[in-house]
Amino acid sequence: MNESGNKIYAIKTTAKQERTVADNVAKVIEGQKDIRVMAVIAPEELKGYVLVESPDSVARMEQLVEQIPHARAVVRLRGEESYTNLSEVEHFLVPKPVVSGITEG
Amino acid sequence: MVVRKKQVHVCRECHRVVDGEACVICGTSNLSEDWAGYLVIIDPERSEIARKMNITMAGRYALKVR
Ligand SMILES: [Zn+2]
Repeated sequence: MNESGNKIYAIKTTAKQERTVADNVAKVIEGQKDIRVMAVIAPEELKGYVLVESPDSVARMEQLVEQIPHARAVVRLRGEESYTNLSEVEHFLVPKPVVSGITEG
Repeated sequence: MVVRKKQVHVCRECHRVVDGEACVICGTSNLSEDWAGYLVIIDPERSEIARKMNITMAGRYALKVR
């Protein structure tokens, strides 16, 4: 299977507003075509941050942050790089069993 | 009118956030208020996270359900 090329960005949020920010990312994305986001996660272990899955550049993510209340900044994760790969955040995901009848072919 | 804080329920089977009485995916009313971690899937076909989580429908989900 080909990798999607999606990156994972961490966005700093106001304390306790992680869910609100995740919801608002979805709302903002719906109304426009310039910024693409596939998913947002707010793991309980990561207080004050949400993780955004996107194929776009950090500049696009910064544009996104400007449009979202309680989203503060795109976090630089390691030195120069502002994004990471899914493999580094996979431990936050607890895969659920496939529900029969709705699996993709 | 008494204002109550609305509890958010999630489906115990597929982890989807449920607005009504039953899950729109599973049809079950086996719901939980005890959950943690939050996930919004916007484009399930292009999301690696959705693939890892076996999620095929856009929407809001819990990462962990107790
Ligand atoms: Zn369900």
